[in-house]
Amino acid sequence: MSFRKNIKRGSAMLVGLLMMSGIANSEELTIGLSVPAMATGFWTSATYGVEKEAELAGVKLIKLDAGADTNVAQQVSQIGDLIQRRVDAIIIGATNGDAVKPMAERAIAAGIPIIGFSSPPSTDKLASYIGADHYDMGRLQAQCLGTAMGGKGKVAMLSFIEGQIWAEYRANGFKETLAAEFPDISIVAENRLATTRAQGITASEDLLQRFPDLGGFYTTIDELAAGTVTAIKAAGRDDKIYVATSNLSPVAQQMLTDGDLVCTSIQKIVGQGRSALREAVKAAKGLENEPAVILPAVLVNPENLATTDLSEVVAPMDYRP
Amino acid sequence: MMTNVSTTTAQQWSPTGILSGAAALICLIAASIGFSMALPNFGSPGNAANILLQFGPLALLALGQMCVILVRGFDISVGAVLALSSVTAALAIEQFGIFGLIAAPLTGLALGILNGILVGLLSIPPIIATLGMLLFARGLALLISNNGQVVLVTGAPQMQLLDFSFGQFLSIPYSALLTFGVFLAVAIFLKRMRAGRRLFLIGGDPEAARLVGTPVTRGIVLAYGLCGALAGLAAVLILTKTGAGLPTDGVGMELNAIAAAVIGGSLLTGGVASPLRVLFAALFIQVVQSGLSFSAVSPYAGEVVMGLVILIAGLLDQITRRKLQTITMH
Repeated sequence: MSFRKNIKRGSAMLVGLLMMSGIANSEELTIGLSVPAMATGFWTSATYGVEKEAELAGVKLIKLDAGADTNVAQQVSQIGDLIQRRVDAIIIGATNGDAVKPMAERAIAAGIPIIGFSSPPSTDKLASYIGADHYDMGRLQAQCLGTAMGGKGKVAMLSFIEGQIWAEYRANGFKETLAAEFPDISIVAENRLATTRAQGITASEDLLQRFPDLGGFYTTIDELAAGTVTAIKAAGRDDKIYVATSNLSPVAQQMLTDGDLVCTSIQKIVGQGRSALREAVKAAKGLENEPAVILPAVLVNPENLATTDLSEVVAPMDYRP
Repeated sequence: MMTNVSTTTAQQWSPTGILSGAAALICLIAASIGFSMALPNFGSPGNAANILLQFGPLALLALGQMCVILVRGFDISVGAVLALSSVTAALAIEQFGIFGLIAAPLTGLALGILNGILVGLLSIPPIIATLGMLLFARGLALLISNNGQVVLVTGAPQMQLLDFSFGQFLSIPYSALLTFGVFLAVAIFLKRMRAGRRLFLIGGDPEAARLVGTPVTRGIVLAYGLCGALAGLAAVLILTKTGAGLPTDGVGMELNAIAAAVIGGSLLTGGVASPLRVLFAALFIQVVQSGLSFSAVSPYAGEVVMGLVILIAGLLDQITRRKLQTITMH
């Protein structure tokens, strides 16, 4: 049944393609990109990757910015515009996956394939999904922290708030790796409240009071790590406690240089942007897509910071979307 | 008193009165033609429907601003009131089915009346009163929505909401028909009903209005109540588009709404209002936004363009007004 349907669909598509081929050959492809907040670090680097790859591929790119993670209605309108503009594919990093879903499915129904990027629309009809391996980011933290602690001691975790799927993956990667590879290290506390540097300081101060013999900290993001490092220094314990984290903002780079961090695991944001554009072009041409492109994490420590190639990680400082 | 009111009304409908507000219409036509010529698919019937589908929330918020600007006020809380209304309605729909949607305009109306009491009865300046309401409504929206997560409408009601959003009658989206209907109702209220016509009198000269026995306070409460209810209706449109209550949405919408009301001929000094012109102005802003989405310009450059466009439209409005004043004086 579904085979016959596929044949029907396929032949219909073929006829359509044949009819359009005269036009399609002479016209360049147009890809839409819709992101929540282009001015934030992640999306700036992501947009940079998409744009560079679009230049390479010779396709036209329409970049739309909802202006903030909170501007759901604005993003829905912008996707509506892209549908009417009849772009050939749309890459979407959703402000909110559930709320953007109806408009994304409308695009798909109109024959425009959707590539989900990092925070995808909550639909199972995506042509492809591009993201980072957050589990692997946690795994790399566990390996470097475990090694630095000599395979024994007590660890506290600042695991970010509940309900953030990427934070869950990172924490699970850390916990499971630690349990498997460093059985003599125990996790004594896990904080699920802190999200900012200031909250990171308070949470770490409390943990240092409660567990005077802590040997290491896991932190989900570098902002939390900055808080933890401040608290450790204030307590005068910076010679005995190791801090690992994820992400690589200028603050994290500085902490690595100063030896405050034992390592940070990072995602290739620019690389994800490039992959998203490549999948969008494939989808636009009707070629077969990778259902998911998950880019591996990279470990950066004080020793390899200077030599690590960051061109696939962050956009150049002078880039403006 | 009645003479005064009818003069004001007569001015609104006189040829000069209609012409002086032509700026918004001129801008709308110019932008539509310009973008249609420059951008592929912009001038298609599909995109016309798309723009009509999108312009409702802004248009309703602008209409509300027009009502409070008419009585010499303004309301910066509408974005937050919209967010809160969308959340209360989403929660009510989960409880009572699709009829829970009524909670949105009711929430807006209640907060609008509260604004009106603060401004009209307690004489708190509108900037303070509606700023307080902005923070209150935003905070409440975050509180009742599980720390700012969207409140998703599920099951059959969600389908009903989305069906409404994507439904069309003669190629015109239902949401646009609703918007047009609301504009017509407000226009009839302002021009034909005594309570509505009083608002012109209050905005034109509140002291004189008071002296001749017009219930000024009641008029101000009415204007703010209307503004709040319209923000609640805008929330209904957003709910139908996304199928979710959005506690963090609507930031900055109040300023676009005020801009649309002013481009639409409202004077911040009060006493002047034309729903038709505000409708053109809101459509104009939506056409420009859609045009910017169509063209591949940088989003940052797009914001610069949007700012300039609002300034130019405001300037054009001033110029046509002055020209006509000179003509009438001679």
